[in-house]
Amino acid sequence: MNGQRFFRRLIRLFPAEFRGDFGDDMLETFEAHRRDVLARGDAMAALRLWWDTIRGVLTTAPREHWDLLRSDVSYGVRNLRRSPGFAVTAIAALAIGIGANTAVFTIVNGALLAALPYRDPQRLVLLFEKVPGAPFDKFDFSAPDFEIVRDVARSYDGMAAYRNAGYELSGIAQPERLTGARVSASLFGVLGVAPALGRALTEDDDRQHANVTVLTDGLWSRAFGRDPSILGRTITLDRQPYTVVGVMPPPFQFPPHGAESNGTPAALFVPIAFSPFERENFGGMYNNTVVARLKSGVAMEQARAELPGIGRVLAERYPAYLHEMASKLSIPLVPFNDEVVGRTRRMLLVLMGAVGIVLLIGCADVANLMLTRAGTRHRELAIRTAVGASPARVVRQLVTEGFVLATMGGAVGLLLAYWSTRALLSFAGDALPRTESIAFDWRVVVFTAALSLVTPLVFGLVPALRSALGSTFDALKEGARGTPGRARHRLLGSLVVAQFALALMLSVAAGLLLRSFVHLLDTEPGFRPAHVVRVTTTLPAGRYATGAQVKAFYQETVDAARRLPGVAAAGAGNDLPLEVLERRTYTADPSGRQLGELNRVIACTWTAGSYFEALGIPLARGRFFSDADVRGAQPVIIINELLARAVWPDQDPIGRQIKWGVGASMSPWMTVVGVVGDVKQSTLDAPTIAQAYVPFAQLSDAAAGDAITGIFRTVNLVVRSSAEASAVIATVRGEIQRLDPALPISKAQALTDLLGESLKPQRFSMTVVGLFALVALGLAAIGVYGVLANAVAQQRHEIGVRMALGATRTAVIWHVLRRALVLMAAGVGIGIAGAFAVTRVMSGLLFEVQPTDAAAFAGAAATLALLALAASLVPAWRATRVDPLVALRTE
Amino acid sequence: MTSKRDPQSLLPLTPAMFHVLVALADGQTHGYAIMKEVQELTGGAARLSTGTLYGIIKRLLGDGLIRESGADEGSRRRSYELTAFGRDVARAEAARLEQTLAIAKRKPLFRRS
Repeated sequence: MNGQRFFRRLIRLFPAEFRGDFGDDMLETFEAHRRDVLARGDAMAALRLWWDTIRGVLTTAPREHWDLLRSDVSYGVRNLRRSPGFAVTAIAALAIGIGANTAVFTIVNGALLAALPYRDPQRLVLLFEKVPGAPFDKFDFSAPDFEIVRDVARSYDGMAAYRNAGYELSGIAQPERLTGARVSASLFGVLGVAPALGRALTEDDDRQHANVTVLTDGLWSRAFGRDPSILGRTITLDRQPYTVVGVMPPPFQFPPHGAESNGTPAALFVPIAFSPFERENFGGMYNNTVVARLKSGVAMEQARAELPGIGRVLAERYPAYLHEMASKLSIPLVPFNDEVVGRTRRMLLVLMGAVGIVLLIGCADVANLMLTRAGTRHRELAIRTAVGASPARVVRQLVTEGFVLATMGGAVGLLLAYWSTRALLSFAGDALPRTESIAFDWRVVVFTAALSLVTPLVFGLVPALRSALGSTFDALKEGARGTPGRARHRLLGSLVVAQFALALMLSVAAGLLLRSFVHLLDTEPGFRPAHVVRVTTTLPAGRYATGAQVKAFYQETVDAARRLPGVAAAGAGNDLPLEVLERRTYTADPSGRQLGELNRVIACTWTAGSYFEALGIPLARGRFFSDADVRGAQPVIIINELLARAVWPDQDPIGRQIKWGVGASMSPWMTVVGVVGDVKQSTLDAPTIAQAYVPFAQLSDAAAGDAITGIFRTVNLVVRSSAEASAVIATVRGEIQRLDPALPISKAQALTDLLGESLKPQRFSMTVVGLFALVALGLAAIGVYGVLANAVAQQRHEIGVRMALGATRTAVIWHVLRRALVLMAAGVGIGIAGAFAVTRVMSGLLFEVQPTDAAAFAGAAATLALLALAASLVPAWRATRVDPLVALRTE
Repeated sequence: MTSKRDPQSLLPLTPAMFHVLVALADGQTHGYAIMKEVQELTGGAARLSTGTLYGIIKRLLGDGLIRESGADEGSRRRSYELTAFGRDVARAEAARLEQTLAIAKRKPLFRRS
C-alpha cells in the first residue's frame, strides 16, 4: 500500500493528460510487477524494481511534458496567426513593458549592482571629516588629518589619499588638458590592482617628490598609440618633464565617476607628495578623499566604533586656536560603493518603479485582450472540454499561449531595450554614475527572460482560469452571440480600474517632477547668462612659475577680450557661478556681528576686470572693483547680500572691514566697497551661501603663484558680447592662443549651456518618468478602449432594441460613457490613494514641491479623465451607428 | 492511415521500441505481459520500467504502429496489438539490423572466433 501510494505520487510527474490516458494501467502494471518480485522474495530484485521505476519515470516524464509543450506552442502560434490584430497589440504592449524594464534594469545593473572594478570592493570604505553646523554635511581630509588618521587607525590593511588635479599634456601632436589624480603611493595596494606594465608609485617617489607618473590604458592608447617603449619615457605635464613608470590594465578606472568630490576618472596618476606647507596646514585645504581597505575579519561596525577615539586624537593635535572646531570633529565612514551611487540610487529606484508600473499596465492590457477574446473563444474552448479535454488541459493551453506572447514580446522588448538604453545613456550624460560599467550582460538577459516567464502568469492565468473553470455548459447553451457573463464583465472592469489607478500614480510622479523642474527653471541663478561665454584655461607651473606671471596673464587676457569688437564687458575669475569651489573663514571688524567660527565659512572668488558686469551680477550698494584696486592700494572686498545681512544686519556694510582667518590671524584687513546680489554657488536646488569677492590683482605673488593647490592658476574668462556665442568663443580662443600657443583650452561654452548642464539630472528624471507616464496613459487608453469597444460589439442587440424603442443618440452615448466614467472614477480614487502612499519616497528628488502637491495630483487626474473620455468616445459613437433593424434581424 | 506510409520513415527504432513491437508479434497483450516478454526475450538484458513502457506505448499508438484491442477478460486493463503498419515497421527494422550485423561480420574482428 505504501509502495502504491508512492507510485501514485511518482507518476504525478507526468502531464495530467498522460496520467488520464495511462495512469490506471501504469498502476496496475506496476502492481503486477511488484507482486511478482515480492513473491520471489528477492531483496535485490525489489531494490532494482524501485530503481528502474524511479529512473524510468524521471526520464520519461520530462519528455512527455516537452512533447505537450511543443504541440501547445504550435497550436498557440496557429491561433495567434488567425487573429493578427490581437497578437500584434498584445506583443507590442508586452514589448514596450518588457523593453522599458530591461532598459532601466540595464542602467540599474551597471550603476547600482555591478561591483566596483577593484579587488574585494565591498571591503573598501571612504573616510570623511564632519563638523556639526558646518556648511557641508561631510568633507574630505586635509593632509595633516589624513596622516594622523592613517597612523592611528587599526582597522585597515591600508589607507590612501587622492584628489583630482588638472594637467596640461604637451609635447604631443595636440596638447590637451586632462584630469589626473594625485594619489598616495599606497593607493594601488589599497585598491588591489597592479599595473599591467612597469610599476606602481612608491613611497620613495612620494618622499622625493619625484616627477613620475602611471598612465591609464586609455591615455596610453589615445596619446601614445600603445607605444611598448613607453616605460622610462619622459612626457611633458604642465610644461615639466615626468617619467612614465607604469601603465594600468584596461578596465582600471579611478576615481569612479559619481562620487560627490574627487569623482572624475583620472587619465594618469602622480604622487600626492604633500608639501611641508600642506603637512602643517591644520584647519584648511580639506581636499583629499581618503579610501581605506578594511582588514579581513573587521566588520564595518567595528571600524566605525574605532573612529570616535581617532577623532579625539585628531582634535588634540590641532593648534589651540582651532580647538573650538576640532573638538567637534568626527569621522564618518561610508562604504565606497554607497558614496559612488548614493546620490542617484533614489532616482534609479523611482525609475524602476515607474517602468514596473508600465509593465503592469501592459499586462492588464493583454489580460483584457485575452478575456475579450475568451468571449469569442468561449465556444471553441467549451467544445474542446466537451470532447474530452480536461479543464487543466485547457488552462495549460491558454497559459502556453500566454508564454508564446510573452516570449515574442520579450524578444522584441530586448531589441527596444538595446536601442533605448543607448538613448537613455546619451541623454543622461553625467547624471548617472559609473556609466562605463553599463552594458548588456548576462544579468540583463536573465532579467528579461525572467520577466517574460513571469508576465504570462500575471496576465494569462486569470483569464485562463476564468474561461476554463467558468460555466462550460452555459457557453454551449448560450446563443450564437456568446454574450459575456456578468462575472467576466466585472473582471474586465476591475482590470481597467487597476490600469487607471496605476497610470494615475505614474502621472502624479511625472507631474511632481515636472512642477519641480519648473520651479528650478524659475530659480534666480543671480546672474544673467544670456549673451555671455566662458573660456577656461589653466596655467602650468612649468611656464608660469611666479605669481607675477599668473597675474600678468589674467590681466592680458582680460585686456585682449575687452578690445574685441562687440564686447560689452570682459572679466575673469578663479571660479564661476554654479562652480564656486573655494571656501574661506573670515573675521569681521568689531562693528559686525561676531558669529561662531563654524558660521564664518564663506565662498570666495578672486576676480579680474569687469567680472560682475560681464556676468550681469547686480550691484546693491557701493561700487564694483576698478583697475585702480591693485596691490599696494587699499585692500578691498565685495560681499554678497547674504553676508551683508548676516554680519551687518542693520548697518551699511560699506567701509567696514573683513580679514581672512580666525582669532589672531595676521591677514590684512580688507575694506568692503560693494554689496552684490546673491549668486548660486553650485546647483540651482542647493541653498545659496554667503560669499565674498576679492580683486585678483591684490593677491600676494606667493599665493597667486602657488602650484600645490593651483586654485589661482585657473583662468575663467567671461565675455558679454552682442555677437553670436560660437563666434565669440572662437575669437577669444584665438586671443589666448596668441598669448600662449601651447595652452590648451579646457572648457569653452555659452553660460546658458552651463546653466543647462546644472539642470541635467532633473531634466533626465523628469523626461524619463514623463515618457513612462505617457506610455502608461497610452496603454491604459488602449485598455479602456478595448473593453468599451468589445462591450458595444457584444451589446449591439441590446442597443438596437433600445434604439428601436426610441432611445436618442445622446442616451445611447451616455449608456456607453457611463460605464467608462464609473471605471475612471474608481481608478482615479484608488490611484490618488496609492500615489499619496508612494510619492513620499520621491521627496528627495523634488525641489520646492511637496510630494502631496495638489496641482500635480489634480493635473494628473484631469489628464487621465480627458484621456479616458477621448478613448471612450469612439466606441460610444460607434454604438449610435447600430442599425436597430440589422441588430434585431440577427436574433 | 496504415496503408500508404513508408515503414522506413520511422527507422531506426530505439531498441526498447523494437523489443515492444517484437513482444507484441504473438498477438494482443497488456502492459505487464509486454514487460515480462521483453525481459524473457532478451534474457533479462533489457528491463523496461512502467514509466518507460507507457511512454513507448503512447508513442507507438501515436505513430499507428499498435492499437488498443479492448480490455482483458476480467480486468479493466487495456491490451494492445500490432497494426499491419506496425508489423511492416518491425520487419523493416529487423532487416536493417540484420544488414548492419552482416556488414560488421565481414570485418576480421568477427572472423576469428
